[in-house]
Amino acid sequence: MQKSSTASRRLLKEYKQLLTDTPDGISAGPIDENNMFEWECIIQGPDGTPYEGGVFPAILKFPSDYPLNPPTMKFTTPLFHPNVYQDGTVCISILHPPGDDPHMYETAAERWSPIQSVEKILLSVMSMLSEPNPESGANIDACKMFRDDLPGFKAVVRTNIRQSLGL
Amino acid sequence: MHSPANYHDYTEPTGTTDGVMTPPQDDSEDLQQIDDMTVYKLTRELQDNEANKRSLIGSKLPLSVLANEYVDPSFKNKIESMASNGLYYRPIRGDGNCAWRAVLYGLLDLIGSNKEQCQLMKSLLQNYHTMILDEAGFEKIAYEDFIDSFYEILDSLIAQGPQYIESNSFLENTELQNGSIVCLRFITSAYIKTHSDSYEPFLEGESIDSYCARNIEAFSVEADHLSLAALVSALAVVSLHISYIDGSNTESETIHILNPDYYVDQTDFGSIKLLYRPGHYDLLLDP
Repeated sequence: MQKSSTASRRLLKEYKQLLTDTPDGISAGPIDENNMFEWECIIQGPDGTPYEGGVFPAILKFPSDYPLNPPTMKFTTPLFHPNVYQDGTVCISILHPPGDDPHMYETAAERWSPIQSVEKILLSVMSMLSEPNPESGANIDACKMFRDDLPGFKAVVRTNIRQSLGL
Repeated sequence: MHSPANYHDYTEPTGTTDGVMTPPQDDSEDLQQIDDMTVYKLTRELQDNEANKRSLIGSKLPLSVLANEYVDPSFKNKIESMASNGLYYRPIRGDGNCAWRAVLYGLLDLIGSNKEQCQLMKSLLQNYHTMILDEAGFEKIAYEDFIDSFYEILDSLIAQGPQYIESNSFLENTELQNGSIVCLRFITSAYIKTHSDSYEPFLEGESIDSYCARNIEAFSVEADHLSLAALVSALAVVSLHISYIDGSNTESETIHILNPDYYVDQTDFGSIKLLYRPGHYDLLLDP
């Protein structure tokens, strides 16, 4: 499919806005400024969570009809989390349009629509790190551990963080 | 009131064979291995492929052509009775945006041969409709590109006249059409948010914001009756005349007329006619 000019125009505007006003703990932008459809973002683990001190890079891939449809987001270092698949793909409601989601949650959680933005996704990911949702799990092992063995869960997360930081 | 994206509910009329999905082969062992995400992706791809085989906006055809596709007398008789009035229709792609796309085309068709009306529509978008968006708290960065898509269509309509919306540069322009559909969706949502007292009682406890996000702002989610009523009031320049066809025993179609709460600056471009069959809208046109 041809990359739409509406999509790249919108992504450029969002990038500029993020450059001037970046939320704490987040940085994001296109990997190559000639291709607005693939971004890298870096998320710092929020303080007071098992992810504190961690730095998590991820790739955002935008569809050619963005923002009609949402991007996908995939962490590129191991992130043990109930709402992140083992391959790093993030599974939260804002990345799915209504009625369009494998877990069919009936919650009033925010879904994708063209009024959303990269910034809103990244903020949702920050709150996902602070408050995992084991009810709509992507990583079943992480869900079980988070529910039944929180100290063990935290230990796995901490080990992953130390490894990814090369410690 | 949860209405899922039921955009694939449109059933083929009996008697046609195209667009029929082939059932998957029975590999039940393999099927047990695949996870929810894969099932979802495959289903989505299949649905998109089916929808993409149809034109966004099909050619103008006499309604008798549609009647001939039906065997079921309850549908066939109603469409034939409408066809006897000389009505035409344009089939609209069943991708969850059909009602919105039909209204977009219907509006352009009403004003296309009158440059002044096209100019007026442009200035209303720029002033009146943008004002509603701002009042409802929509961010400019989120809506400006979609207003631009609508402008671009209106500019071409002014420059080229009514043949523009008959040309492939419009009919096959997914980007401009879909952008304008989002524009219609946003002003409808904004209208509901700025007139919440009138709409809240119909939402069965769901909040206005949640209803708008799930049913209106999200692309490819089918319009329900309330959304269309709000669209008409948000546009404030047309009425909608909807003919409902279903499998009931009645001889003729059921007609609903949706008028705006008011016409902005007494601007009335006329009435857009839609044909509704369960799960799908098409556009009706005079000869």
